[in-house]
Amino acid sequence: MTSGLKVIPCLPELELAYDKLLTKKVSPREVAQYSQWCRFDPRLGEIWITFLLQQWKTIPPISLNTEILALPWPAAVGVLLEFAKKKGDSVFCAWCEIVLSGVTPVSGEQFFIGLRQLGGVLMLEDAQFGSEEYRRWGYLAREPLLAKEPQVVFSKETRREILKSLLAQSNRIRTRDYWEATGRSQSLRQAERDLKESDLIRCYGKTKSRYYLALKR
Amino acid sequence: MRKALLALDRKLKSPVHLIVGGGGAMLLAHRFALSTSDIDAVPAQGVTVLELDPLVKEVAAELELSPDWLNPYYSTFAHVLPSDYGTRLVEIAQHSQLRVSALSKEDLLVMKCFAARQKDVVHARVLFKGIGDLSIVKRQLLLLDQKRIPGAERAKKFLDEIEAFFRSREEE
Repeated sequence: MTSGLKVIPCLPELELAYDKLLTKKVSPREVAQYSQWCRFDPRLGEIWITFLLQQWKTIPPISLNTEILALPWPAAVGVLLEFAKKKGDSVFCAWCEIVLSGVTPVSGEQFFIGLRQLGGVLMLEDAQFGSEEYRRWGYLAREPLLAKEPQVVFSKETRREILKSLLAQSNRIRTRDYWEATGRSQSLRQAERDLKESDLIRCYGKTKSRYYLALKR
Repeated sequence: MRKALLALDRKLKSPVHLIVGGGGAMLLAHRFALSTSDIDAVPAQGVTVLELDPLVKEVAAELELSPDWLNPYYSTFAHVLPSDYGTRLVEIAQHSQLRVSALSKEDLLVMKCFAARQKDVVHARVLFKGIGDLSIVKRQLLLLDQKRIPGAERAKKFLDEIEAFFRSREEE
């Protein structure tokens, strides 16, 4: 049996969690509890991360660590803090290390619960093209959780899979096609570098007229 | 379990289709006697996980069951299911609002291979024995390996060991 929360939050409870995090009237226990609820609601994840970036200095890290270790999915906090660390400084990162002390990654499961069709195409793509913020903690997902920023990080291996998938749809692509397919998660320059180094394609043309054709295998 | 599902049916105001996996499917659909006190089930239609859970809690209170007697958590591994798993569902129950189906042996075995825990070996062997044609399972594991899905290589090795176990028995 895959274990989890005994009680799944209902919509009114999620709304109350939004309110508590936005008004900053929340205890370490609730912060921990809401980290688990994020698996049912990515928007709560964004709000949780924003709250933490503003309030982390007021939360004793050892208290929070104790709370999350008692919960069924402590690695979920790992994911949320991976996103938060992108905006935090080195002191914040050190605080995160204490919070995550003793937390270990899970083993290849979807991060979000109940938001995709069971066994559907999108669920499979979440597994195939999962971003690093989730994969580092053993989870599979692509949803960026920093409010108003589309950034997720894909490993070189995942970017290769994205390119393969793109080439399966069309054997002629431009840099921008690949850049869009990665959700613009990297710079155009990095996208160009990926394509230049790829063993899946050959480059034709120069500068603005450059395109790539899939190599026959 | 069946009593709990019937109680849940009485609380539903519109049709809901649940898909059962894990131990619940083994017991209810495939008659494998094992002790499991909960049902791994996900609503495929009619209601969301968040909407269903309060009703599950009501049933738990009425029948003195654990509050998570029905939970959706096996769905976190459902990305490994073949896209046509719906054509192989085994019907467990059809009540006035609630329809309950279970994953087939083939699809359960795919999930077991990905779980690849030692405690899954017994169930995996039972499923393996009950499947006439393994090609669905092997094809899916190969596809997932080609797509570089995490755990796919380990899943293939898990199935290889199950297969080797039965092959060695035949040779004896």
